[in-house]
Amino acid sequence: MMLTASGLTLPGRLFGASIAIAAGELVCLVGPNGSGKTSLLHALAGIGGAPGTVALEGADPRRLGPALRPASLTYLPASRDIAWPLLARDLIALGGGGADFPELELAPLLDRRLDSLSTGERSRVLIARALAPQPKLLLLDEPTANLDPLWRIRLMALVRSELRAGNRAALVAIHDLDAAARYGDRIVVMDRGRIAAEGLDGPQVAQIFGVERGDGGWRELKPGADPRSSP
Amino acid sequence: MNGRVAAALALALSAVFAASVLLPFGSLSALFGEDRALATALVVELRLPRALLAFAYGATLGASGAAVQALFANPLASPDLTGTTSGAALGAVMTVYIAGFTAPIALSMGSVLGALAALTLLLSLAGPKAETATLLLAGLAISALAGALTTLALALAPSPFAFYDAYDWLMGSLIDRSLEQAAFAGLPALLTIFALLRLGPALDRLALGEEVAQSMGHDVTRLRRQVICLTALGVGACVAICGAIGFIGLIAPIFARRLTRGHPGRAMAAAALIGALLLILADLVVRLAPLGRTLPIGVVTALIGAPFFLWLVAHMRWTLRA
Repeated sequence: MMLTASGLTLPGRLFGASIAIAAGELVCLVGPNGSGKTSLLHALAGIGGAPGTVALEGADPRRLGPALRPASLTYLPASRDIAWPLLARDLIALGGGGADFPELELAPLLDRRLDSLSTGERSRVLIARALAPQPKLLLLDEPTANLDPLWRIRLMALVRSELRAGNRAALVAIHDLDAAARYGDRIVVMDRGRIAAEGLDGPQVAQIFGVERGDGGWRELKPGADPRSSP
Repeated sequence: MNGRVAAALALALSAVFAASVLLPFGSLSALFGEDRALATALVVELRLPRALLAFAYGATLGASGAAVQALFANPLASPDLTGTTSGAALGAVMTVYIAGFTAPIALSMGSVLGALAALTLLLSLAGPKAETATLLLAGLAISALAGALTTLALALAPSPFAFYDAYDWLMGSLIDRSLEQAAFAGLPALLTIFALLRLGPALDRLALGEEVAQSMGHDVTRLRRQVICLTALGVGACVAICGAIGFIGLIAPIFARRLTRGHPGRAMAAAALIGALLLILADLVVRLAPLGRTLPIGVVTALIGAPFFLWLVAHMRWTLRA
């Protein structure tokens, strides 16, 4: 396994979570609101100093300083807010990477200030910041949020092609279960701060999300009753 | 900031520094003709320390202002609006008038501790990534508290002349300071500026958000502690010698970021140069204004800075954050 992590703990949010990801693998992380997806990404990225072990190709990336860390892992937060009105090209450069992604069609945006971009355009710039160092491990929190359908497809195809390029892997937190099924090599389901299941087909998954697959897509399980409130 | 802009700033700064030491040139050259020793003493013992203090204090306010703005991710965080200068003034007054320590080093230490206490209180009240309203309200509360306690300390001081003694200093003054006093403020100020400049790249990456900066290997808690301690050291040491001078730490970084394409960390060097330039200019206004008496320099910076601040608050939108 390229990445192995175990015993990751953040008080109240993450209770000894463990995960392993193989080289080239795109793992989608799904779970209800508050299930600990972002906390798991934080713990792996070294944000907030969660106890537990992380090994990326045998070494703990959380020990690396600012000079080496971006080549090891990058993290895209769910928030698209940036406090200062930097130029798009400057923001990407601050991420410490030099790679260029024609697929993101950033050329017309590079010399514009972030506050003049739409949320979707800003998302593409922030995604480019996370991709540019070409890290071994990509940790992306809701990368397709704010993107239109075409850009969702293009973005996930880009992440996929980046993984093909070498000894790299991605863990992507995503709410859209269909997108997770379409793009993920594997789906990891989180519930209440723990890894609860793999894949979307088990009966447990319907219980966790409170939804089930029907003819017209996902629909609420047992209308009126929250399955999460009963054991 | 490209090389040409940096050179222009440095040139302008040298010019106002020279003007501060030499103007009004007519009377100085006349004095040189009459009494060379007196003229030399005037330049070396009166005008040079004053110009050096204006340079060091202005540069410290500029660099510290840029640093705390980067730290709080907010263009309205400055040493005066966060209560840092008021805290430093309170620390100095308590040291001299209540504790009775009058040695310059005690005064500086009291002032630095006061500034540190104010910044620590602000951080715990407003939180690390402060909304503008929270930051300003917390800063206002700390300034008001420190101001009231300063007045109380002066009222309760054993010396009946405490108010009278402290008034000039509290309003901010660079007048009649010795070279030794200039060193007491200037050396910690230079140390602060150089140490802050080393934090520039980390403060720039903090612009990506605290979580991203952490994921890139920056220890944000330590960075925050460093900025707060350095700001307290520089501002505290300058307040101990020259009193509280407002608005330079707010204005200089805002202009500086226009020279660094909005980068909050690398704006610190430009902010230091602009802060020094502004304070030396304000001191020239104090010296050369034909009013027949000396204005406190804090009044001059406030008269220029307060309307700017009001304009900034009124237009506080993203576009003005540059």
